Amino acid sequence: MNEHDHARPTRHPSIETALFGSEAVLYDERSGTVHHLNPSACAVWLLLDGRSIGDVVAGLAERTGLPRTEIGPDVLRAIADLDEAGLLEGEPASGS
Amino acid sequence: MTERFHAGFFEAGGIAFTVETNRPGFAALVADVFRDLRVGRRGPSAVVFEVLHRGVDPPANPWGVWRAGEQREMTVSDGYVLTYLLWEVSRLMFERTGERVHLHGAALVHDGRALVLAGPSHAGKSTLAAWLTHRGWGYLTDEAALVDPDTLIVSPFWRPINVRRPGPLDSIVAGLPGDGNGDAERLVPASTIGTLAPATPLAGIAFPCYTAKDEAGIGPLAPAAALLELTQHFPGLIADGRAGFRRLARLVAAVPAYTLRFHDLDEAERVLRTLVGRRS
Repeated sequence: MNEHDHARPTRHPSIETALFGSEAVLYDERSGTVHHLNPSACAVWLLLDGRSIGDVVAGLAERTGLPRTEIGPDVLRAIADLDEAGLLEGEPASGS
Repeated sequence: MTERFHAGFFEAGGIAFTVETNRPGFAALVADVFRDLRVGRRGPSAVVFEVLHRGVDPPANPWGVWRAGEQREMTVSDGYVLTYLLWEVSRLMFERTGERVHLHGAALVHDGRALVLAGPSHAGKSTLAAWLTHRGWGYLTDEAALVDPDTLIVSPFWRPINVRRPGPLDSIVAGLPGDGNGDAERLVPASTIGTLAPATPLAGIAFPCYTAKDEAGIGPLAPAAALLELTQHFPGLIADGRAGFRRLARLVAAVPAYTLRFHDLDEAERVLRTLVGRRS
């Protein structure tokens, strides 16, 4: 357990998600901008529904069969990138 | 009161409009270049564009443009006024697109199937559209394709094709009516080089890219990449915000997209003909 595990970053309600297989294109209706998510970022994005980061990591570890310690840093980085792009609301994962 | 000249009644994507001006030569030019958009007399609901020469001499830009009495642009040059008017007409149509999706691109028809050529400016869309029209493809539109995301029908908008000069189409458009003025671009009525096509179901979206020497080649483009292409270069295309984005996403999920590299127009035509001929 680390300091970020209890944060609950959530998809911002102004973002529309178009899902194409394992990829997604996001539309931010506030700015009119679009963002492309590769499969890794998309997998994280789809789990940002208010659950804790710890639960996001656990969910992805279960899905991929990889250990939490291995995917944890990548998940934090993806959340930080999404947050920096203004796509999240709630407690950010900054400080990672 | 200044005398007014009426260029005619027209329609853009089902939207009726008229053009009035205080210069008889300009009225004749609009009537000629917009000939494919011409319709019979319309009632008072037609949107009136006024294109008025303010009587100033060069180097001042003498033209002003109003839409339905509202001032749009007051300093338009002689060489740009027709292009600007066409842009205003396209804008009017986009504002009233309704549930249809607006793609920045040309649309052509082969064997009853439509292909949209989309992409950024200077990618070769208009040149290719004019060439395909000249080679027997049906012409639906240039620069402004309207597609119903549910039926996948592409609506015709027979606006004149914007042909750049000098270029590979010089010999085709030489001597044809159209707006010249010796400028680098020329608006050519599509019916003078080929056939106009009615509303047609969409078979695919191709993103052309002119290359200096490569042979023509086509490759698949994933829906996410296609949506990104369509939106990143033209954020204004997502009219109607979120709902518009959803419609666009629905469209790219339903229609295959491709990248097209081309150098030779005839080779590009052959490759596209094969592509449209494929039946899923």
